[in-house]
Amino acid sequence: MSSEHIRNFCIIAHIDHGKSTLADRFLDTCHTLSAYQMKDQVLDSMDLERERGITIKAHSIAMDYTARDGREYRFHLIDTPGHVDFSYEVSRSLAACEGALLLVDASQGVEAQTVANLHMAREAKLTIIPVINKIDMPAARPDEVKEQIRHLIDCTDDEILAVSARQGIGIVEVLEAVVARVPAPSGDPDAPLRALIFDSIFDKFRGVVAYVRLVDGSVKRGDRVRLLSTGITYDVDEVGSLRLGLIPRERLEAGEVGYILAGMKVVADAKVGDTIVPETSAGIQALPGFKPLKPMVFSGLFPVDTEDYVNLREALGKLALNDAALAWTPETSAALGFGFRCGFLGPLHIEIVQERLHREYNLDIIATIPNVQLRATLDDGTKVQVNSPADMPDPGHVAAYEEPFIEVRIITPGEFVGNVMRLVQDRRGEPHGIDYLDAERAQLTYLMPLSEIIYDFYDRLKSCSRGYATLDYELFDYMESDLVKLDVMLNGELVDALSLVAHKDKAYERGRDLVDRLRNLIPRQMFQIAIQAGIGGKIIARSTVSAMRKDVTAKCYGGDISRKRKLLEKQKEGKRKMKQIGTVHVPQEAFLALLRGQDE
Amino acid sequence: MTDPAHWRDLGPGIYLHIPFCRRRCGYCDFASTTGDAAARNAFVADLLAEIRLVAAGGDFADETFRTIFLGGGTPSLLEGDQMNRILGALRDSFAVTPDAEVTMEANPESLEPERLDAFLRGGGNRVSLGIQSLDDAALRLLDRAHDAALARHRAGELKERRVSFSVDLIYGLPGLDTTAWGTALDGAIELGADHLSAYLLTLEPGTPMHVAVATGELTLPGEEEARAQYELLVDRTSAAGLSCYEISNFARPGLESRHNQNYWVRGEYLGLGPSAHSHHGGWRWANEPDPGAWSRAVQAGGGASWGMPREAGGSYREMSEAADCPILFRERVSGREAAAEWIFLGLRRTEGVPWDLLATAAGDGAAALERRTGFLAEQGLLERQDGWLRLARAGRFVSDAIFADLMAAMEDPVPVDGTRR
Repeated sequence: MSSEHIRNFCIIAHIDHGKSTLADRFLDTCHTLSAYQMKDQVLDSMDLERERGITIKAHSIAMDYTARDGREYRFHLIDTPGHVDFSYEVSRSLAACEGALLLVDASQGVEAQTVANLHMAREAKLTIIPVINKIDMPAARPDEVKEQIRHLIDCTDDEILAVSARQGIGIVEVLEAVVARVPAPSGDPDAPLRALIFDSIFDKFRGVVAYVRLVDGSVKRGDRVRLLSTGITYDVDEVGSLRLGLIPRERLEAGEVGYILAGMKVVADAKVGDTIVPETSAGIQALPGFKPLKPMVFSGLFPVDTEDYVNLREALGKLALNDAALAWTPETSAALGFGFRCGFLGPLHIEIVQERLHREYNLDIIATIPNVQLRATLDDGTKVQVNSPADMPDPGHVAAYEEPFIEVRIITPGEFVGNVMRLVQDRRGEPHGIDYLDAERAQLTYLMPLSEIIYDFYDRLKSCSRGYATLDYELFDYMESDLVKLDVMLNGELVDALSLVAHKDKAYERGRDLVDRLRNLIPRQMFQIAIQAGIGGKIIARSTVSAMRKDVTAKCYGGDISRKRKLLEKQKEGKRKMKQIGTVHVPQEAFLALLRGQDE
Repeated sequence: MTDPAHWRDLGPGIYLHIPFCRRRCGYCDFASTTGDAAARNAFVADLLAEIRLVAAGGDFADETFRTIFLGGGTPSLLEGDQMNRILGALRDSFAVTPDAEVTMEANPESLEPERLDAFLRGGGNRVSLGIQSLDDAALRLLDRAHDAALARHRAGELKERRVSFSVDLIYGLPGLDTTAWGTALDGAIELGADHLSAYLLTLEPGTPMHVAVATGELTLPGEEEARAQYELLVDRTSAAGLSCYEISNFARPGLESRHNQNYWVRGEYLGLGPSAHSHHGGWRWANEPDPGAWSRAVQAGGGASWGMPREAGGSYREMSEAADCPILFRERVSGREAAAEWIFLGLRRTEGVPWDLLATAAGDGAAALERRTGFLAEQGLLERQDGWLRLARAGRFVSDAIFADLMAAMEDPVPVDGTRR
């Protein structure tokens, strides 16, 4: 098929705006799948994705569409990962397309994530086709949504399509618009191979499957290719199309989207954004936009049952086969035992990994308070990278700290603007602008530290806007911050699992909060327990658990010591199950409650 | 390690469990039955049979017993001649020292002078009188059959006969404040007993008083109030010349209960009757608690199967593997368990435990145990002095927490770096 009959496009949409359902309708219309294969939200293959309505991995599928002009077109629908921590991956999926459907729910209107992705699509110079979905819903207000869309992109009302994916209304019109408006790919089929990896997955039988968009040239089985970022060469074992499964083909050519199998072992070998070129070609230009994935947020993961340490290590290894962003090193905590310090892209990534460990590997995990990656400049000018509060250098030798800042975009109904502003300013957000998408929807942009959104931010944003505000962010840069390490001590002994990085102005509040919550979670013991929060040697908050005053069996008679022993053995086992911090016994439930926030 | 010399004349002892009560008290869950005269006669016959069977087994042939304790239940419900037959059978079947401490537990209502005299004629020389309180309201609450006047009367009869006696008291009662407790305590001290035991009320699940507290019908004193009552107890008894030699026991010097001390120094003893426990030769075992089941087993054991083990080279303990055996369970006491016993029995005594004895039993847990005892000593809960480890006064009222803590420290030593798998 010549490239003029190929259309590569994606769908930009917020969670629950109907992206997966619309994709299902496209597949129906193009008879891509049999009724037997068809199930709701075909492209979301993980249970977690279907359930939460988010896409963790990008997916892609080819469809053959016979248009009204009588010609047959090959559509490649490239699905994009749909959450805020994965904006780089989204940008690479967009780079594989010429067009994007901007899908907006007719009753919900435009959301922050949609706008963020739309900006990226425009930077990638994609043709945007605006589509309003769920027009059959009673709460639909297509005219207002059209106004919001016109505010965002330069278009007329006539260019905005109206559909109901669930009812199958307007689907053909969308497909026709793809044919008519999205340009055919424009690569050079005779140039040396250049293929963009826009995602890769690990298949336990076949190894790494690289999803690629061929920009120039062609590739076939037996070719020797090289990945530009690593310089490693591979023999191509198989190429083909992405249908519901992998369909092998003779070759892939410029403009096409497909897959390559080349004996790569882990997804980190096929880095998203990397360029595949012929082994022999020299001086070939990499496709623009490649960035190595870098974990920005760190947290210690510990098995609740210490016996699960080995299982956790194995599970992380398996997850990493398919998650190039996940990094980890062993970590030991007096409070939590043996575990791993793990690096993540962002807070949602932490949540996804924890959830997958739980569901797919049946592991119960306790995660420490996350921190961002810091840069410390020491007195002598050396720069140190800090991934854990425990690694923070002696404050006496630190000249300055820098932490990553992000540009945050929040879209909220106008009535909650005040609440959102208060929340963000409390999190050290610096306002960068306010924009009204229509009479009722405001878009607020802020520059703020990444660290401020990884701790209890989403929930607060949702609760201060009755669930309406949505958020997206992208990394801005490292900027100087006045940071300190906050430690918690029990009778003078450091509780390593509770150490955290805090801004100096917030440290007191965080310390007070931790100390107060701990006080309610530590059972009284035979002696008084001082709970302290401190910075360096300075105590900033303190609380006390008073000593228990009565725990005695007054009568021990008749020679029946076995009854007494059983009771004490039980009491003893209770103590043994607790974590010992110096001289103090702390029930593991206390850490669980504190770190999972269950006691609030 | 050998035990301190002054512990050696404490035991071994014999405990006899007499499972009868006129009625069951509202806070009690001990093995007891109300039973009539015929039942009591049958019980005495069974007990005599068990004495003969154990003697025939030969395990205790080399022992000379130094104490006998009739507990229950209410031993004072037995007739004088029943008591004499039992004490006589013990002396016939086992070696008992002439100066043995022979104690009977008694309730004021059943300790009529003729029974008391029969007990004394049979060799008895000590009475533990269960007066519980000298506050009539408290006695009614406890569902006791006697009143304060009768308790005073019985104490007078004991004094007349110059019998060494102990009185039992209960504190921490619902509705009884510290002042009322002080009054009852002073009254008890005035009875002139050589020995006083005072127990904090412990409610066992399922007893009527437990139900009443659970439903809010009764309210127990709070932690601080209970502790204040204990402190008052220690101060008043001490002022009266009764010194605290165990968490709950007070005596004039030299008149401490030898029988009970023997339990706390992990001495050996033979228990007879339903639910009685024994400790001998590194083993602990217990009889069937149900009086009927115990009786059937003793009667069955009178046949060939009970006689066999000794001839077959076995012993009393091995009979526990035979059917129809009155022994509910038996267990060998390991080093770690012995260390735990030193902690939760030995430390009950004011004198404490020689550190070497405890450390030897603790084996490789000794170092961790020493660190922990050091810390608890710093907290004022334990004392370490002249090679002995003991509870500090402030530790007595949280002693269970201390015992469990030491047991945990000994078994689960935390490495120096604080990590633990």
